Amino acid sequence: MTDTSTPPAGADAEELLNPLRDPRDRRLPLIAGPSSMVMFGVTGDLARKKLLPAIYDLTHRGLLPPSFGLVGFGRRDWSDDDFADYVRKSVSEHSRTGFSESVFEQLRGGLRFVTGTFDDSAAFEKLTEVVGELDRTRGTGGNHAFYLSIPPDAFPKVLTQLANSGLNTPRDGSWRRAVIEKPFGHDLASARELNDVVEKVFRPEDVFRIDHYLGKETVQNILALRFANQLYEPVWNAGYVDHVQITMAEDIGIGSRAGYYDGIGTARDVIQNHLLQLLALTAMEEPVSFRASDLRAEKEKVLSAIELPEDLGAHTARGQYVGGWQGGEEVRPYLEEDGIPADSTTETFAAMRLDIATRRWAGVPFYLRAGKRLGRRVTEIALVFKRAPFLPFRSTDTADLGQNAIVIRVQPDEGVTIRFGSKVPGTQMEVRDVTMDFAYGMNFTEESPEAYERLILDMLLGDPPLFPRQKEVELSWKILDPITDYWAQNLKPAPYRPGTWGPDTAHEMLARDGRTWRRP
Amino acid sequence: MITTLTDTTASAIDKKMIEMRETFGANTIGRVLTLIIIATGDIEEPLEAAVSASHEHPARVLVVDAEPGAEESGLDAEIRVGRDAGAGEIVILRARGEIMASLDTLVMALLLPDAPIVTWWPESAPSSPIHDVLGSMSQRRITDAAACSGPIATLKRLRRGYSNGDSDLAWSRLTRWRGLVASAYEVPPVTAPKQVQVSGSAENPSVALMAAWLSHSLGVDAEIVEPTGEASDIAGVHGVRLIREDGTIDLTRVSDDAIVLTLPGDDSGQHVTMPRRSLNELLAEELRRLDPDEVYGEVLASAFSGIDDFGTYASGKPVATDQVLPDADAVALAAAETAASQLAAALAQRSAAHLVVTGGTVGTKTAQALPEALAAAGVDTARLHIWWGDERFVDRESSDRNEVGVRASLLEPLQEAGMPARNIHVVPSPADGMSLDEAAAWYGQQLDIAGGDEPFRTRGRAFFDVLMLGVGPDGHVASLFPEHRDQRQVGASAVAVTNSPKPPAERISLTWPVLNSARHVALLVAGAEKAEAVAAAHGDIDPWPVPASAVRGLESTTWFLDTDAASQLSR
Repeated sequence: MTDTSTPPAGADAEELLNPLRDPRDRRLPLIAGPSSMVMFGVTGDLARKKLLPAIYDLTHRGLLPPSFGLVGFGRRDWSDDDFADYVRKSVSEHSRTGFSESVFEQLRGGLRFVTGTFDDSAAFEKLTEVVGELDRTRGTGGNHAFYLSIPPDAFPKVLTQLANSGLNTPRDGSWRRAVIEKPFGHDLASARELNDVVEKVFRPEDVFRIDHYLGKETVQNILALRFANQLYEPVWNAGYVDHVQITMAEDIGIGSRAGYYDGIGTARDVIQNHLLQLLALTAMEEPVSFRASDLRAEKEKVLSAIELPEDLGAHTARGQYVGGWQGGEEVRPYLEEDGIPADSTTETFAAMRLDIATRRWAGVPFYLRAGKRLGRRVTEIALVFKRAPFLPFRSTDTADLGQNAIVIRVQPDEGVTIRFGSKVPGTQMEVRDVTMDFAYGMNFTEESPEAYERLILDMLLGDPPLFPRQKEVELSWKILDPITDYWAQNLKPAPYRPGTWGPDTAHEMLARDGRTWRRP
Repeated sequence: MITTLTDTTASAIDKKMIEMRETFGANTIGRVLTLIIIATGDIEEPLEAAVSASHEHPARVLVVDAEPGAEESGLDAEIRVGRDAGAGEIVILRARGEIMASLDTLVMALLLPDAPIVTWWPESAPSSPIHDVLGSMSQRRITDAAACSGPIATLKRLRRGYSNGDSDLAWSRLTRWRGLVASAYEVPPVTAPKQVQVSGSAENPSVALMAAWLSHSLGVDAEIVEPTGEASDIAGVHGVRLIREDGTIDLTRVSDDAIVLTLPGDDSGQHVTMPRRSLNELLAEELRRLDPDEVYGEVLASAFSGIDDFGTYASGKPVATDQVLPDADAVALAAAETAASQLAAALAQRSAAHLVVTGGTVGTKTAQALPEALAAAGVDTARLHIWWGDERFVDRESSDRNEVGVRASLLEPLQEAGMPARNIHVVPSPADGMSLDEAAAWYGQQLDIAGGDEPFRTRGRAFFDVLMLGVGPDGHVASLFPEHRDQRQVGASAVAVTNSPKPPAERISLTWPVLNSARHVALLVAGAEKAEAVAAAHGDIDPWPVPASAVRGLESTTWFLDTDAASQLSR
């Protein structure tokens, strides 16, 4: 796994010298050092449903220091107690590990709330005082993370205020970190602009971009599967692989995200970050170590080797769901969702073919698809292999034999499936596709930590491998920008029925290459 | 679902499991390990923990529920799959009687191919898990000192028998505590503590390990302080204090769920949730990593001092006495009569008595005299067990074998007098299909099964009632030779001896702790050529140059000597 081979890059020198932390002592939980987190946008959906519960769950698992402080910043005229009630409500509804009064009491001691707007300098002065008070009374040691769970257009204000109040500047031996959520811009230009704003105030190594997808165990498992085994790597190339399909399907609609989603669409929402990251992990060369910089180097290399199809019309597809019955439930068309203009041309389904110009992958198309209101909720990476060059059977014997495949199931039901041909028992000679499954039981309380828990903990520990850097973000936009530009000019989303695998154009797109989408 | 098989075999169980899988549909989740649970008491609690842990680590669970003392030998089994087994599958093996002699072959057919094996003793830890018949097959051996009678004594025995891959739940119970202490250490400004205290009962193995861990890592002696008042009710580690220049960092358990952390200059105390860990959590943690826990090994080693001097096993017992008799025949007769009366006394108190016999001229003569002496003393031979102190690893019928030397004179008459064949614990020969090492391990395991292994490694306890030994002219006893490296092996109950100075070269011998686990020791010596060795062995206990000086009985040690052998004694 990525967190094992190297000491956290950002860890303080004395932390590494702690004689109680023997690197061979693999039982000892990595508990975050003394620190606090200041959260902007604490009343938002994400904070309420994911971030606050993740912090509570980390506390429950004993992975946050007893001194941990959590400061909410917002417009509401709340006292610390009001804020505590809000946090209690949020975690009792959404925590993964179950609500316990005792755990909450531990968290409660470090809860603070600062009332103010983003352009209110006095409020930031108050914030500076509160953070200083935490350092003095709780022992948070001057280590503070600023979680910007706010729309990107509010970044400049908040960051400027942080800079003016000096909150971005660590004292000796302590750290200040900024956490930002996707989207990291909506195209290359805006991503650069956003980054300029952030990196003016925080050093690049102190900026943590949260992509909760990369917290998933199985994404790390891709690294283990590929690089810890001898079995797969020899066939992990154009000599054996026919093509690769990466799918991220959701069976739900856009829900309450209309305000954000419309005008952004599936490609920018998930392909730019999640699917391209999965592609990079699948296609990259072996990193020389699992150090963050080495891992990033390989991901950046493979992203920069991606080539777009010449005819974007023939090798991409775009769709929008219509209304109807989906799996026993009547659902609204995208154009009638709350807050969506009736003439919206935002896509809810996107598919594209990408090629990788490297010796390993030349001639092996990577097909990416993602969408809302598809057949089921699933994320997977399927490597579909070439057929055996010669089959010493009668052709009728192998009529049911498809192509071998290795499928990495990212979610749900994380695991690996291998599809291969086997003789049907009792028949004279008939070969048919069968599948072999592996799944680690993941429903144990200590395990399967929510992605946000892992990411927040890694951020507090200063362990960066799972966090994308600006260069990767920019490379992804370079891949996506020409496609979204082309779509804006030439390609309207094709309608598709909810609960299906996207519009016909997606199927035609693969048919043109003589292939079909796998049914996940 | 649950299926029960009575009077069955491992192969029938294996077949049944495949049948169940075919009939009721495959559970396609891959199993990652085989977990063997050695049950001595209630099996449901450990099983529940195993089922719960199987959600994280899909496992095949084999529960060995053994009754070695049973009259009838036999095997019943219960197979649980599906809802009754969590994400795993469970086989409960109820083994009776002589099946225990080959416990390894009982589980062999039921192990998952290639997958790692973990053996867990929820109670009754073996002294040296690696030398246990199942432990030796396992990558990971889990004990629970706290669940044994005499937890600290158990931990000490585990320390002596430690091998990479061992671990103990007393250590896993500390994981969250240790994490918390490690992060408390990092409270700024970080300075090394000049004094460390662990509060808790010194009789608690987790407390001992916590203190050892802190001393070992910090290089400061951690002092164990008994908690007082109400606090004394709290089991396990009650608190840890790191005393630094700038003040004291104090962690104290205030309830089953919580700890209060007090920092220098802050008296208010921070509340930290730390519930006691359930057995499920402990087991799941143990199964997470199957490589050796080196830190545990080092901490355990530093928790207690080791025994470097094997003379320790013999020390602190009554001094040896001499019986000097005219000749070898008189020595044999006296030794036989003494042994017979000691065995009769033993059987009056206990259900079984254990006699260790020996070879050699006097040993064989004594064996010849025994049947009559035992009959005269009224010993119930059906309740008597015969063991050997050492044996030559040669052909079963070879006259070099100690067993062959007493077969006609002792074993046959005793069997005629009602001793069941299974009471005669013959050391294996090459004809039994084992290598020398395997044979030694097997014999040691038979002793451990019969004796529960604890008496062999606990001072003041004994397993054998009478142990007879000859003494060589070089002063060797059993097959422990002077200045021979194999006498240094004390981890197992029996050791393979190679390159013996006296032919044949390959032998199996009981080890120091086991030879010193008898109530009465009889050293049988005749002949002038041994006089020097006898005299040397009457000096200080010193096993390396003079092995014969280092075996003592808990109640008595008697030298049965003829006048020649006693000739150099200064008296």
